[in-house]
Amino acid sequence: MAKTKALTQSNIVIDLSKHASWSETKEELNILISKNRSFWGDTKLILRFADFHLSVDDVDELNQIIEDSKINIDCVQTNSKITSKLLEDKNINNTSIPINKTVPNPASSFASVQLLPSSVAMNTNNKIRLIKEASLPQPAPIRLESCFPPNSYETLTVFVGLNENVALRSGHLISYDGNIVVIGDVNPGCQIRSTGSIIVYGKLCGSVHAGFGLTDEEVIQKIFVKALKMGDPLQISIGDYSACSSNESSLHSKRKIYPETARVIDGRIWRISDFE
Amino acid sequence: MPGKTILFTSGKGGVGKTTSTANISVALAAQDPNINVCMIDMDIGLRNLDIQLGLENRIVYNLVDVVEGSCKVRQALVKDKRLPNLSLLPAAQTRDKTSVTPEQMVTLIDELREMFDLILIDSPAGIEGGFYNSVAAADEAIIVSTPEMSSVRDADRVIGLLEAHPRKINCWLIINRLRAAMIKSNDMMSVDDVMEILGIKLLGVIPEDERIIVSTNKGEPLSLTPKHSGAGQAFRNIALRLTGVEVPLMDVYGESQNILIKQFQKLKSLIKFG
Repeated sequence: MAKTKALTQSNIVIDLSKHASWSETKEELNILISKNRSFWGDTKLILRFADFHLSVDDVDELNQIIEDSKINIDCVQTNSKITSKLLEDKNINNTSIPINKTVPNPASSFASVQLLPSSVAMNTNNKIRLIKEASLPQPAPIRLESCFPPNSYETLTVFVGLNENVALRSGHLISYDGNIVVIGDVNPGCQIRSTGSIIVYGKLCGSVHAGFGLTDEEVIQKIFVKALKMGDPLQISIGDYSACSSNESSLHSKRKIYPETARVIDGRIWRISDFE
Repeated sequence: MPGKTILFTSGKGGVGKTTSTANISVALAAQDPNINVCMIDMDIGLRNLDIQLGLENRIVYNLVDVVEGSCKVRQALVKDKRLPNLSLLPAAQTRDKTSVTPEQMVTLIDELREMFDLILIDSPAGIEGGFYNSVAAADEAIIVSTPEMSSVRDADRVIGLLEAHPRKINCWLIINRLRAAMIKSNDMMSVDDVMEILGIKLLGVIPEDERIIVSTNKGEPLSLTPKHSGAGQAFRNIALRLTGVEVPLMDVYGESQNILIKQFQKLKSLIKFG
């Protein structure tokens, strides 16, 4: 499974703490995990419930979902002691939520950037779910020295398209301080901007800017943009560098499409097929 | 049971929103005389739906009059001359989109829901005020797009806006003005190409048809003419699908054509050139 290899060493946090009821949470978990099973491969998932209390029945159901989907769960994060106890009874690995244990943000001047009001409205709908929404007003510090380091869960934001694989449509704007993973296609006319790296589990079109606001060459060289397909029209910017697709009409394009990574090497952006 | 509201929208202009609204409404009303269908023209200032239905000269009051309280809803509704169960609430021609607010539209459509089983709203092009007035009370949306990049891009934007709407409006797609020959020669996006980008459920595909121009000029929707017409049949199929009948997608590419007919055409062309 080439497409999941890139993430197997890291963990993805699924934040479920914003839901009020278990039924809602359960429904979302089912869609995320069971229906998109092939997306996850061997990736270790961390389920975050925060202050959300789970009853005995809820934990049973959670256990059932995990067993049915055969998903790799690293741990369940919860701040509730009752839930923690119940999870232990079921032999589900659980921890409390780590509080900002990362190093100070090197790009702290950018830390105050927030989503525009229009994009907030778009992100809170059912289809495009901004999972780490709770941390948006004060973006968590990120560790730019090494992208996706183990145990720095705060650095990852996952956007999931639940509607037939289209995650972000024309006119959507994602602006975030940290690394971003998008699950689903990114359509032309969409803009993604992050201070960290960007991974798209789907077709990438539109305009992406990784390493936004960075000037340090050494840090910029560690930033990347990965996608299962890099389509057209596409504009990739990393730090100060910018590159665009060849503008060939997609109707006539016979080019083979494969997973690719874009990086800055020797002052230029290169597309490398290093997923294989 | 209160009626259902279906919105026709596209983002881009000139892709066939009004034509689809007129033809599908007529087909819906014609296929079941017990269903009461109402059309609302939301394109205030640039109204067209009445022309396509041939009802222009019957308009006395309009939507803005109703909203402003100058008349009752029943007075403004124009009954179709062919189908007694089909009515039109025309737009005002002398006003603009700012004459109505989304709240007023919700009140108006709630009143109409008691009178009709199906309410079809023809939205204006664009994503400004007129669009939001049309969306205000819609239950479901039908996105009309032609297989062109600019139209698909605009449709994608509109779908994004509708999905982000607090009421989570369910979207369906109609691909209009499809030309099989151009797709075969790789000069036009195919149905699959459009579906890959938009990723919503397909309601129907309408082939390009010259008779549409004649029918809109005459004010006689094509879906009402009994003569065989590609577009008319496609509109009738969509109307059936909207009422829950399963109809297979039309063979727009002409692939399953009878082998005998194909042979005959081959023979004909041989004789012509030989």
